[in-house]
Amino acid sequence: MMSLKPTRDLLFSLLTTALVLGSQPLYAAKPVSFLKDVAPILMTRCAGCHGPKKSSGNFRAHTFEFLTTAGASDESPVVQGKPRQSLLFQRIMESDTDLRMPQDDDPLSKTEIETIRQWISEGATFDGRNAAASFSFLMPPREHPPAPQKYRVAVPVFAVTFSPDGKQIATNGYNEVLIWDSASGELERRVGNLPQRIQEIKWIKDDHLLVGGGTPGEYGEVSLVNLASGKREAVFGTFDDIVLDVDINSREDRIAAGSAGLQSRVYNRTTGEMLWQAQVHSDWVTGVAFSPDGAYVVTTSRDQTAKVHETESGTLFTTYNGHRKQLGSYTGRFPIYDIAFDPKSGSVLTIGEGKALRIWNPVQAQKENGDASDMESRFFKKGHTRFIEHKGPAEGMFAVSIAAGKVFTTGANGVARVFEFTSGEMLREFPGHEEWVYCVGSVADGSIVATGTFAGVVRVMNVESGRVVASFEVSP
Amino acid sequence: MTKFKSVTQALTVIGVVSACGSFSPIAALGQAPEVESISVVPDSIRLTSRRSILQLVVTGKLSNGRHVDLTREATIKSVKGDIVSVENGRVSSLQNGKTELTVTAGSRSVSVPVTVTDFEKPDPISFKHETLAVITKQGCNAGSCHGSPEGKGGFSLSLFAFDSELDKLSLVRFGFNRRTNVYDPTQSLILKKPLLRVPHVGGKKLRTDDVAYQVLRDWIYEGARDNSADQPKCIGIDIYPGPTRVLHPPHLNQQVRVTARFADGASRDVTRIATYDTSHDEVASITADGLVTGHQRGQTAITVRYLEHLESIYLTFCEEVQGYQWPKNEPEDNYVDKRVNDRLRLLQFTPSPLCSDGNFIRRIYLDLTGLLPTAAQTRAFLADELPGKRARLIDQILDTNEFSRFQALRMADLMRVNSKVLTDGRARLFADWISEAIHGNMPFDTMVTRMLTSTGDSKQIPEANYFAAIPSVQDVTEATAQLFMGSRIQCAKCHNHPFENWTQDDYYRIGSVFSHLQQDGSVIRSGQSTGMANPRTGQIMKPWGTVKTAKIPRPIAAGADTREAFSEWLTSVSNPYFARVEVNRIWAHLMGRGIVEPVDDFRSSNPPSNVELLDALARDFSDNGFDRKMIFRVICNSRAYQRSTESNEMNERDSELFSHQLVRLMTAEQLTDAIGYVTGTIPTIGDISKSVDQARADLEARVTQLEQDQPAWEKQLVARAAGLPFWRGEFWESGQFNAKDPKKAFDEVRPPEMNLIDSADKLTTLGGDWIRQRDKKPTTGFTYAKTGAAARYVYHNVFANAPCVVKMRVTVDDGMKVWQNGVLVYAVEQVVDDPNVYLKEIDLAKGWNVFLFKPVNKGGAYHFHIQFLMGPSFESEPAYPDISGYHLALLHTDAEKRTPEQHTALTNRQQQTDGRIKELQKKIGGGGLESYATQRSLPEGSVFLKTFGQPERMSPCLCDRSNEPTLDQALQLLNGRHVFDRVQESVSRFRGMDGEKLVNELYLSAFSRYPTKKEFQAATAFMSAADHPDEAVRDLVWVIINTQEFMFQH
Repeated sequence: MMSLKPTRDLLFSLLTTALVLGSQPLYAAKPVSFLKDVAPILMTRCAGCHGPKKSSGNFRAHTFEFLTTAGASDESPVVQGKPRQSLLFQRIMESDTDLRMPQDDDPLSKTEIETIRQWISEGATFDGRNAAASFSFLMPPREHPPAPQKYRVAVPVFAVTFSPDGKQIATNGYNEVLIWDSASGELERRVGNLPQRIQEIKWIKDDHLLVGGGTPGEYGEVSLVNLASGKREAVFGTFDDIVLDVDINSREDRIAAGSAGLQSRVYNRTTGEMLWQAQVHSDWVTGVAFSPDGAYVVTTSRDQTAKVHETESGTLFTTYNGHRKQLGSYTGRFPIYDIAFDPKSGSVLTIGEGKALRIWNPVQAQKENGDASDMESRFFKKGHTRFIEHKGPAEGMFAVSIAAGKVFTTGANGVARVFEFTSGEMLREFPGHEEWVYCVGSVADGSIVATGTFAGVVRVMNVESGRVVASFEVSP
Repeated sequence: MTKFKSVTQALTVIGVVSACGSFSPIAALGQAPEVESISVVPDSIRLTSRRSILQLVVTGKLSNGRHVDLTREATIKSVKGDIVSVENGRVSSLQNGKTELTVTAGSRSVSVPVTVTDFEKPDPISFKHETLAVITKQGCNAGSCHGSPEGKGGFSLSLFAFDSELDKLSLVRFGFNRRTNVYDPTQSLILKKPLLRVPHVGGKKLRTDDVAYQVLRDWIYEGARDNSADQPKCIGIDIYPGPTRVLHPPHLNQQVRVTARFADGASRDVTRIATYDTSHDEVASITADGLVTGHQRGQTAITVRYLEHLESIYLTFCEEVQGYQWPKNEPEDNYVDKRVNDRLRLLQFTPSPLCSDGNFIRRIYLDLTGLLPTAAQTRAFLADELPGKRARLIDQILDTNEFSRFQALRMADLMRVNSKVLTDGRARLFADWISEAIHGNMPFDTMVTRMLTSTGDSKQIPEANYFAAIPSVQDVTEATAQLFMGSRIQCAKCHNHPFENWTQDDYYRIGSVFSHLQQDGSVIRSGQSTGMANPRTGQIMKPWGTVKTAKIPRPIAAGADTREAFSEWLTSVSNPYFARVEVNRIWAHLMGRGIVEPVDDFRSSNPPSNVELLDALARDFSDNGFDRKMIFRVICNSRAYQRSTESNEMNERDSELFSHQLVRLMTAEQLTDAIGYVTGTIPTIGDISKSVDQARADLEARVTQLEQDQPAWEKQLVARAAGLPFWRGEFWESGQFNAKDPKKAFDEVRPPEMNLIDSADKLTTLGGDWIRQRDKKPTTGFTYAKTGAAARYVYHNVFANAPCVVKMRVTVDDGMKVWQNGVLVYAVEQVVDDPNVYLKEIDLAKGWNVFLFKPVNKGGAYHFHIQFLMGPSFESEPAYPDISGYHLALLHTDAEKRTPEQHTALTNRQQQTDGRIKELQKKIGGGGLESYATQRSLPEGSVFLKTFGQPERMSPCLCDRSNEPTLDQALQLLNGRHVFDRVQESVSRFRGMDGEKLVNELYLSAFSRYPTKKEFQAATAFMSAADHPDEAVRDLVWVIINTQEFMFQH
């Protein structure tokens, strides 16, 4: 037996090679890559009915394994080298509109059909690592379309971050990051080849930006931009839905990201390797943050919980349930929208719907969760959580950040507020945004704060005086 | 080989064009009538923007008088080609200008002027009027999708866009602006998902050529804004054609045109963005563009939804039925028959002939009295040869006790007359009231008004049990609407009704009618009317009937009690619901199916199967003083009612037009009594019923007697009271006053304290909710249900025949203050263990002494008790006469000076305590009739009855009574204890009869007919061959009971 195997394998590979060669057209077209060329077509045009959420005709087309397994018809979807015998190809070519795929929809374009034909003719090879994984995780990072020269309208601002020296502000644009002068509000630079929507930017040392974003409902990425070269230097990973938050630890060697596709991940910045991936939330992951010592990553979600993970292993350390309290003060069940760590005390600040932001500590939270033996009594314990009433609206608060003992909050009411971390006292409020404020960021000493609104307006304000330093529209 | 989806498609391909699907092509190819004239709606066209599109409907009138839709067949040409374009009757603007459209069909032609203006001006998509409309049209916000309370997939919309504020946020700002992309609209998730460009659990819901796609894309492009703040509100929609239209082959298409009316007087064509539904999809279907196509004969409602407006039109599709011929001898003396037959002729169904006399007598007895006719009654009826015997029998039965008692049972089901809820004899009181009201044929409007406006102790006032039976204001709202308006408005509690024009505001308007009612134990109080707020908007709604709404063009001024205005509105002759709902209930009872079905689900999307019939019955009912008995008489005398249940070839497909009677399983009560009758285990009712009539006469005599005896009775009691040192008078109670805590209740809750009372006359000036406790005995205590911290007030007066000293003892749970003649004499904030604390020496002056008590309640249930003790060591109270303080006080007044009301109060009290009267009332209410399940005012709970669908009486829905056949029922009939026992006993009924007589008697009582020859021979042969005659009787009875002919009413 053993001695036969190499021969058979060899024979097989010779045969396939022959087949591939035999079916190649005379003019030499660039060979088709399954993941780069075919998978995107399958994901946008087929996976709606034959995918993770539905499997019409008992057939799915979002993993390679599924794609090559016959559905209810028992006919092979893909016959290597033989498009006309492949049901997949037959059905996209079908002339009867009742049978043609995509059913009840526009047909595939000629180019799309040709791509699929060519791929099958060339042997229908799979250039991915894992035949059981969804294409959305295997497809190479997207090359993004160029950002528009001139914006027709301002885009909503979801990310605003100061450069370490406070002189510049980075915000999202459309398929780009925009760098502004923080004092004048003048646009300084545009950095492209980035996702359509950017939900978070972190300005890190050596003039790099960590960027998280994507296309809602279909794509997410976390990438690193080198400001010196103006290039997207690395893409750590892609997701099947938009990345809503990213963070980097204080040593700047670990990167965390959370997506609306429910995943949270941690990467090694240096090697680009993914340390772990967790799917512990039942709804969008809205926030991620490293503890100041880097030991933990905390993720927050619309599922009303915050989860504490150990950074290196990804082990779930504890779940914080303070946003879905049934007893005591500030009861209710509230989605969480953002998170920040106080570098000094190591406390977590989480904010979302409801009347107050929560300040808590991961280790104490774990102790309070206790075990089965004190189930009943612990519900009645007051707990260590501190509440600051942020006076936010019912629609929710979207952002919290902290710098030098000052806590900044913004939300659906068009007001940004500054609280003192220790006392919880409100120091100042900045009304007049006239729109929902989705993000807030400040300089390191907490003296200058910037906000971004749904209407695409960024305001830079002096915390001490309350003066608006600059105000500009994100609409180059 | 290409596969065909349908036969029609295949035929089309190979060149055979079928004119009308499943309709017979033969008739369609007959002589085609000429088009005599054509008309176009609208008759002139104004398009006021580049996006303006208008749907024309071209209607032809044929030489045979029928109307046909020619929208797609007519040639429509624009005189100037570049002003507008026309496709399928849809006119779109091309540039500003004026022209005319020439519409031609056959030899006829009309012209329609067209003006296009403002073509160059921007015309942004209106969020409320267009965006939300198309979201509804695509089904995004349906109850099973994103319109469900929790939304779907984290995306939540309001059901059918009733809450535009929520939708605006959900579509744009919620979810981090994930769903709309103003920068690049086609990248918006709300487009990509339903297009299936990204996976969507809801599937394919949108195509790029849908109007909705353009509207959504353009709205996003224009900024995804709610720009409708200053736009005038849409106040209604109009559908053309309407309200009804009949379509004949081969013209079985109908283009619908929908226009929306706006508050500024403008109207706009919304045909393409309105949403369409059909109630009978086997009859007709409708496209997104509003083109209806008929599939088989029948009627369907086409329901059009635009924003919160919902209207329906009724389309009837006819068929040329081969072999159809209207029977020759089919008289129509009765308006019911006229209406029923009109409909049958239109849809070409042939009615069944009248049923046999045997079937008739069985049917009419079961329907009207719930009981089978006796063998003797049947014999006499079958033998009667005089004309008009059916009508005479109907009249005769309608006057019996059995009729009123059986109908009362049916009504009591709906009024939840349930002795578990209505305890202390209240269920009985209410049931008897209903029964007597039906017996006296109380006008239905009076009956309902009396229930809906009742107040007081439901132990005394029977109709107040309407409210006592229903636990909450919401429930009263829903039950009242369901019972008397035929509307299931519970949906509107949380959102606008999805299938009817009931808004959430409407729900709370009806709620506001009843929101001031409080149940305090058995007492229904009418408190301060605060109105009910719509929880979504927080706005307090004005009571229904007193404000102008879409459903109430002429409101009625609100009086002191909002229920009066409501009842007046409800029972007015012009009310669209009241009469229709009740006649439909009666119709359904007699015909086995409502004209509207289910009977309490009136809505435009659920059409009556015969509108004209329903309207005629309702008009007759309201024109004749809401006389229910009359409606019974009219229907029972109709041929429609008296038709055979046997269908023929020409009407077997009819299930809702009443071309034949319906076979119905007997109800639980009917069946149990029928078994009792046949087996002879319950007596036939005639004599008992006569004794009820006798009791009614005796009662009247006794009441007259008591009135004559009154002076003597009074004199005796007055003398008793005068012989005592003092006696205790009447009680008044205030409602409860809530406070934050008991201390506040004790210290600060003080409406009466502000004006300390020294006489009952002043009570009413204090506001609050004072109720005179007419039947409270002096020595009984007070019990209050669980409340929060609260104070109450109790007024009480004591009459001293001479000055005396007594000790007042107050037994109390929490706290108490007492004033005597306006002076505080006693106050204890908290209960202490020492009983003497509650003893207080009091001087009673000669004449009236007035006490005001303020019990203060901490929280739980609460009791207190007041005693006035005397004797050497103040150990006991005097022995007062056995009569309430109120009545004693009345007796103390001069008989001449009493008001008529006071006089009645005394008379009633005397009657209520009279043993003979009680006995007679009991006889009328039950007295022997209790052995009949169909004649009981309160249901007997037996396994047998439950098995056959006896309702729990916990809901106002007729559906509470199940009429589903179950396996359990079969087992009960075959070998259940109930049937077994009765069959065993049946021997005594038939003992002594010879075989022949026995068989005839058995057939007559079970089936209301003589046996056929074959049956007769088989049965007599069986009897004579039997070894044990008794066993043979039992076997025969058992067989008869287990026949379908017995179990069913036919």
